[in-house]
Amino acid sequence: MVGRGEIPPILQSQLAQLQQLKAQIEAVLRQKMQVEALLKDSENALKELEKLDDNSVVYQNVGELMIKVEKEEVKGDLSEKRETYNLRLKTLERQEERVQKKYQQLQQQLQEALGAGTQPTMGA
Amino acid sequence: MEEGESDGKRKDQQAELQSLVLTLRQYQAQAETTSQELLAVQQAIGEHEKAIETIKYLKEQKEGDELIVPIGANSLIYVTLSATDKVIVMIGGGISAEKDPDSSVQYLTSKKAELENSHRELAGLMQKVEQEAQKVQARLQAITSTQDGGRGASLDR
Repeated sequence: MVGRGEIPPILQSQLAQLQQLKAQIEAVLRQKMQVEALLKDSENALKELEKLDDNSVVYQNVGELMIKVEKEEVKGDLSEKRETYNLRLKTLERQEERVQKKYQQLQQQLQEALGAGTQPTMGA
Repeated sequence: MEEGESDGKRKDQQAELQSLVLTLRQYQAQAETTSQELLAVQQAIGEHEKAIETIKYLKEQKEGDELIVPIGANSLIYVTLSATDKVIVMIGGGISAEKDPDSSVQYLTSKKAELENSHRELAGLMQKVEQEAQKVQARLQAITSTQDGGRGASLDR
């Protein structure tokens, strides 16, 4: 039996699920930001490499060391990285879309269920 | 009947208070993160300024000149300048490239401008967050002052 002003257990579990989905969205957004930063970094490096002469000296940072490398080789590596980051970004975007949709559906469901009774504050 | 109404009103206020406290905490967390980011960007701007100044000074030096270079922990070593026309600059993606001093200064100046732009944006965001937090705080104070003896939600930060 549920008293006046109390949230039924099924809605409580849905609220918890809603919070989990919100945490999932935040985690995906964080990952997206990280990948976007890596992508931008690679793109900037590629742009700078394009500006250099063919005989320019280029180094790859490996831990505390800097190893002399061929410009074309580095360009290839960076282009590959850029592709990987682009793919990862697309996957994360799809994931974000999916979780957002689930979140909105559940939020609407809850608002409808709670509309007649208690009015919770859902700061999403 | 009146008692029921005032009970309902008190519950509504309690709910609003809880929601406001939550919002305020979110703004505080956002302000803290933004403040840390601002500090990091400010430090990066300072580093770029230092590097630009160093390269400009290096151009006036000649090969074989003796310099003192810091190695950390307030310790320095003597080095002999072997080239004044080459600077190695990190260009992103874990890659560094050799550039002449003028190109290096140009590159670092453009990076510094990007950082200054980010700094402006972050400062604007910080201002907005602070303004919103102030509004929430004012509303919180208005509600708590109407409550008897300040009873109600805990406003611990």
